Amino acid sequence: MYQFTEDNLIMALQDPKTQRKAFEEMVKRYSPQLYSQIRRMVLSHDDTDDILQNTFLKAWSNLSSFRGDSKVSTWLYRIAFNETLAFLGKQKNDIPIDDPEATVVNYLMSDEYFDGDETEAKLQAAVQSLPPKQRQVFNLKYFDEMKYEDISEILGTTVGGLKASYHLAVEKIQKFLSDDY
Amino acid sequence: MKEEQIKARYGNRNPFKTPDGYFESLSDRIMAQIPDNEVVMTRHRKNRTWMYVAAAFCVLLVSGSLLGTYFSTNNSRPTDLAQTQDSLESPTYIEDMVDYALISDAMIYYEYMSDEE
Repeated sequence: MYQFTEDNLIMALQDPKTQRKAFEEMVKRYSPQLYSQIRRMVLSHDDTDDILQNTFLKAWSNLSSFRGDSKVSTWLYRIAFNETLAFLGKQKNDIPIDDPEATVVNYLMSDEYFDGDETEAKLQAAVQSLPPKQRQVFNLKYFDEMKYEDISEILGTTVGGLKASYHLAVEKIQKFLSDDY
Repeated sequence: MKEEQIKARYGNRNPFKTPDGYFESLSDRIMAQIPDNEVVMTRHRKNRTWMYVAAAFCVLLVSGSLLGTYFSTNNSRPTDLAQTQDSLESPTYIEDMVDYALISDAMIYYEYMSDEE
């Protein structure tokens, strides 16, 4: 299905003769997982699409800085998360919402690209209440069940720091959803 | 136990979906934004180029030094401290240092003893 393995994908990205072909394959291979990470942070499909495209364009222009000392996926995740945080940083000046949970739930339930029920929408609303960096940690651990060591490599945070962040995130979410218990 | 409670009630499924054919067309849309003939010089390739430039520069530098020594009219060889100080400031310092490196320890001792006498 894919022409390159992880190892020779990195080499192919370094070689001008195979660079474009390798990059195109990289986009096809990693876009679904990157899409999921971004979408869980920003909720909107259109915003996710913009951020995802920016992520890959940034990856292209920064190929010279990728030395292959991390996995391609790790490198792309880092770019995607930075692009997402930059996007959310621009959004934070929006008018505050009186009832964030109701707003997010209503938004998701009316979104044609949301496949969940109201319970899942409430969970997403709770996740949205977390600060962006904590939200990233929670998403990677809770939804992707990623190991702390792998999260540490992506986010550049210590395992101890991640465990503390995740523990606090779970407490906040449980408190947010406590009306449902 | 809190995480398990949340998972038991709310699950951890990915509830987001994409428009039909989204991923199939995504790579075409991204590659269309990269000019056709554009390539990115990677670190490996950049290092090679700079290595060649650095090597050429070194060859020029050594050649220049050797030519300078050949055509130089200043054949002074300082043997005491005052002259050594001057030599540190002179343009022929490097050439003199090369000359010193070629002198054996015995020769240096001989010169020193000769001066003292």
